[in-house]
Amino acid sequence: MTALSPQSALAQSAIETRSHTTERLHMAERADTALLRIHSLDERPGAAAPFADWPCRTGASLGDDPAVLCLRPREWLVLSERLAPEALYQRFASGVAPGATAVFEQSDGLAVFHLSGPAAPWLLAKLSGLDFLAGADGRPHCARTRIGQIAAVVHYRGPRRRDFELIADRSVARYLWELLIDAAPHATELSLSGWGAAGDAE
Amino acid sequence: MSAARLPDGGLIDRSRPLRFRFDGREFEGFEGDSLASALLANGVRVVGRSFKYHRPRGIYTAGEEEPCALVEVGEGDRRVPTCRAPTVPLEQGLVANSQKGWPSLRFDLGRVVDFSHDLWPAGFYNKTFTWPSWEFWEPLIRRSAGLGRPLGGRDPDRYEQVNAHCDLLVCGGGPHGLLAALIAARSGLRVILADQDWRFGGRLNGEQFVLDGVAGAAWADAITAELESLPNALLLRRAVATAVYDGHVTTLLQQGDDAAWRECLWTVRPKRILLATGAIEQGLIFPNNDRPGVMLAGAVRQYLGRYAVRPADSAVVATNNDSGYQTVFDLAERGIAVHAVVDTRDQVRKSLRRRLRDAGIELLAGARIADTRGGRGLKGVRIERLGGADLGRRRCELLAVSGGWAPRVQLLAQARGGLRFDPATQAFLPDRLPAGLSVVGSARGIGPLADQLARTVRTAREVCLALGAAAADVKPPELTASIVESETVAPVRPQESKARQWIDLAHDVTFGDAELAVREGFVSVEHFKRYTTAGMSVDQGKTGNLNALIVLAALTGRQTGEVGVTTFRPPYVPVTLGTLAAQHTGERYTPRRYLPAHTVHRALGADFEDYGWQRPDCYPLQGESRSDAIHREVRAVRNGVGVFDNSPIGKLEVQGPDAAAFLDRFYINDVPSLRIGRARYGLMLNENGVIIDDGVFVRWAEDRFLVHTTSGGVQRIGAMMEEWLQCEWRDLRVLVDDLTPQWACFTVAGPRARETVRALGTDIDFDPGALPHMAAAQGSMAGLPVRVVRVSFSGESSFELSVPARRGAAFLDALLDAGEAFDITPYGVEALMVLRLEKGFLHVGTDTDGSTTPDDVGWGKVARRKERDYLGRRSLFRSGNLDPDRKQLVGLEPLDPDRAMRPGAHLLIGDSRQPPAPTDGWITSAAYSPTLRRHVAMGVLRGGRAHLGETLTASDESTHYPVRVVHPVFYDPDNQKLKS
Repeated sequence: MTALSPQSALAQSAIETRSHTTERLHMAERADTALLRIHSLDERPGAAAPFADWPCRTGASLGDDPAVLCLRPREWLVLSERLAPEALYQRFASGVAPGATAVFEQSDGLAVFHLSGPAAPWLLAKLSGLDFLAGADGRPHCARTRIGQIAAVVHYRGPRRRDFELIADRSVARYLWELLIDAAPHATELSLSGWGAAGDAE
Repeated sequence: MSAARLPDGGLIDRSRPLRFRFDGREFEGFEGDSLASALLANGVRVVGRSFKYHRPRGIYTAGEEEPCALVEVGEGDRRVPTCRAPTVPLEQGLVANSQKGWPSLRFDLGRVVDFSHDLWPAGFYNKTFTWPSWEFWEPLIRRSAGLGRPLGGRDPDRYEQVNAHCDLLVCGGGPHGLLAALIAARSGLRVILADQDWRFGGRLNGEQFVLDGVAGAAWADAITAELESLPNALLLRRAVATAVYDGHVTTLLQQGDDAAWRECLWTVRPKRILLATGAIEQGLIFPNNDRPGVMLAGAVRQYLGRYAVRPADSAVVATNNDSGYQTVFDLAERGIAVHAVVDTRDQVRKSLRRRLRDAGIELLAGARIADTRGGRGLKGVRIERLGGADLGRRRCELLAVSGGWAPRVQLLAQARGGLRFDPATQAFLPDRLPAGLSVVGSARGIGPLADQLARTVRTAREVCLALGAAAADVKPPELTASIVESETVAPVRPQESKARQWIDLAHDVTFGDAELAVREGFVSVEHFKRYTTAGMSVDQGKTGNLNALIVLAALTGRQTGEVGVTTFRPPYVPVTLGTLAAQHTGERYTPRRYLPAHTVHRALGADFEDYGWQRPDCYPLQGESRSDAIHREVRAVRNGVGVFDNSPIGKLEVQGPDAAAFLDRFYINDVPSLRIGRARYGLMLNENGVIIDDGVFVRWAEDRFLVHTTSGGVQRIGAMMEEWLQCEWRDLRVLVDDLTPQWACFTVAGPRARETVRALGTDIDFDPGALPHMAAAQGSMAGLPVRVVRVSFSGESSFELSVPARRGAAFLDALLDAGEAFDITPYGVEALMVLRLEKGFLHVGTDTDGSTTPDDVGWGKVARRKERDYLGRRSLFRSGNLDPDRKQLVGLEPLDPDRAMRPGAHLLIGDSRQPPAPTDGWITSAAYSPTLRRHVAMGVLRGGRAHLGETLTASDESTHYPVRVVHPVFYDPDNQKLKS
């Protein structure tokens, strides 16, 4: 490690392997995802673009990169793999309503995992009570939920990408990763049932 | 006994023989067998001993309701106790053992309890074993009466959990469940169909129904295949619905292939539930009705039809309804001699009489079984008229009994559905259905299959429509051949004054126990259940509850319906504790949180401890003991410089125009007066004035604060603030955000701390004038953005440095490099605790408990001086909180400086008091101080501050020693080091 270089959440907790691929499941840590959390006293963080059309319904998701997730009324999470954390911050921090909105850089605080493949929704279903098996024909959306015993945000990217992002406190990244790895064989077995495949088939 | 396999028929695969062992003996069965059917096919009649009386027991049923054939499956650590033999699929190499009987199942010395049964009636232990004490006898009784043995070590099996959502959950995969699931699935609904068996079809697998021109089992297979081909239908084999909760949440327990996983708990959230759970046949009540060879009539048909097992050469059938006759015909058809049919009813249908006459089988109507005989197997029965007239004896190896059918209403009752007693079928039937729950098939009550199927189609279509789907046009299958089915059941009547009639086979509850319970006044059904323990064994009374209610009714002169039912509680079948824990054991028992610089601490040789986070406890050097390491780390901080990873400390960002006013309502301290760039230590109280958290808060701007909470308290305090904001103080414009994981935080403490942080390269002025104690600054260090707060929990000059977490490890490396010139020493939580104890700093949760107020810890003046209201303020003025005799925090020193003190030791005011005595307080923190070279402690003491200078007695279990009460600040009382 070079001096003061950043460490991924899994590397931080001494996990060397940060991806897992089988025929029906791919999982990987996305260490370079830039994240921004915006919390506002008002319905929208700002009146003008880019906030004018931001999703205000809890669970709604807008855009691809950056993707804007409405976590709860007046709180959003912004993700980007294209922009560096500083650039993402600059892009949105300058336009917010002064005094009424807090913008937090969260790239250091959160870990992001990417899950895809037919077993991915089963894997999430093993760890959360939400309905991940309704089929992948829904619109992009997100939810705060309990995964295992931790709080996490699940982001479903929608039919075009048909994959999930799992976002959680980076201090529990190792617990979450080991939980996912441990649950993967059963999730794979369950995915062979074909249940929910209708939605996945598009 | 020449029980054997029938030459043909059955749903077993004779081309796939399977070897298995039972009680050390080798046997052979076939693919498709259950353990029970394979044992019967090999002539094994006794498979266990009864719970209390150690009576030999055989196989009584063919399903999950089995009360007798409870066996241990597997070996070593992988053995599973109390498996119901009919539900265990036979596998190659399966090992099973009976689980009661010493020295052997065949010869069990415990049977002495049976021979002296008069001494052991229900509740005997409550009356008999009072001397010398119940504790003396309890282990002996438990050893004698228990079922199975728990594993000695860690359970090596794997358990799973999964969640699922669907439109319709169908519980029960018999003809009705299959048909309903098919209709729903063809209608486009998401359907989950679960059945306890490894084959769908239910009783079609063993009965001689023909549907749509094919045998029942083949019809079931075809429906199963179609459902499995549909992506919107999920079929779960060996999955029993164990409970229904609010909102239709239903749990299913699925048995797995032990190689991958043993059990899986499904939590299903369906929009609607359809119960097609069928009915459980009940036995008859007569003397010695528990002998091996007594079997439910429907089970006999399953063993004949599904498993091609010939359970005996000769049989008697006893019944109170028509379905028992089908067993007679099935037995006769397979060449088994039926010596008599004993029907409690006087009137038997002519068609049945005629068929019996044609087959040359004797019918004894208006009769009952008076007794059975046999030891380890049934040898015969004695029959009498209902009035008592003897009808003689009949030799038989099998007594098939049918006492009617109890619909499986457990799930319905759990969902708060209503039940009513139906005199025609002598059973409790569904009455009031909860919203979103439907019942089909025999779970509604017994009746002809054709009628039930037609009704199932109607119900399923209604369900589809209710779910917004266009119901598929599915016709009920045509029943081209049927069996003798019951529409009514005659009442079961116990034989008075004959004590040894078993009501509950699993728990060895007899008619005599019931009589005793009623004599002693336990006539409420719930009291009766608890006194007799009827229905409280592993089978939860599936074959015994109804008979218990009938007996209670008979003994109290009531109708069965008047007696009512006991509460049906989950789970419906036993659930292994491992299944409830699933993945969350061992390393994953609770989430482990890792510090941003975990890898650096590991490289430094830290001993980690779980404090909610994996934190370095201390850093022992090669060959160094933990205590030596802790003392070395303390000395390093006192004399040079140390670095502590404080990343877990709670970091709440509170901002908004009303942020100061908002925080002022939580802290006992004055918040608005805090200047920008300054920090203040504060206490938070609950509404009762009890301390719930402490920490330093920093003002970064007029409208922006950083609130430090205890490491374990950040989520709780954050949630509390959010609740007050959302529920009570909606007028305040404030945002609260937890940024704890965003920042790695390191405390550099000691006389050389300032030199060390300067050596990192920074644009922050660390001069004491520019950054005095309780000041804060933001800038850069080592090229990173950094937040610095000058606070101390060690008593030394100290700087908390926060940097972005992803670079926490690199920053700590850089800090260690920079501090090398000053001999920087990493120190862990243990050293920190010693340092703060020397300094007399409070540790919330250690030195406080659920009753500690600010005044108790010396903060009373501050708390009362603030005139504005804050949470808990009013409570501080309650008389109880002003009592001078409250326990107050004090320092403690042993008179013998080498005397170690332990937290938890009680304090007794006076130097000569000895326990037992009411406690005056206790030690909360204690340690050896390497700085002071003696032991020091803090504790809470009744009226503590009034006793400064006095000598007390500390009582630690059997050790008592004198201690002196002192001021709790042992080190640097003038704060000169702190502020340097």
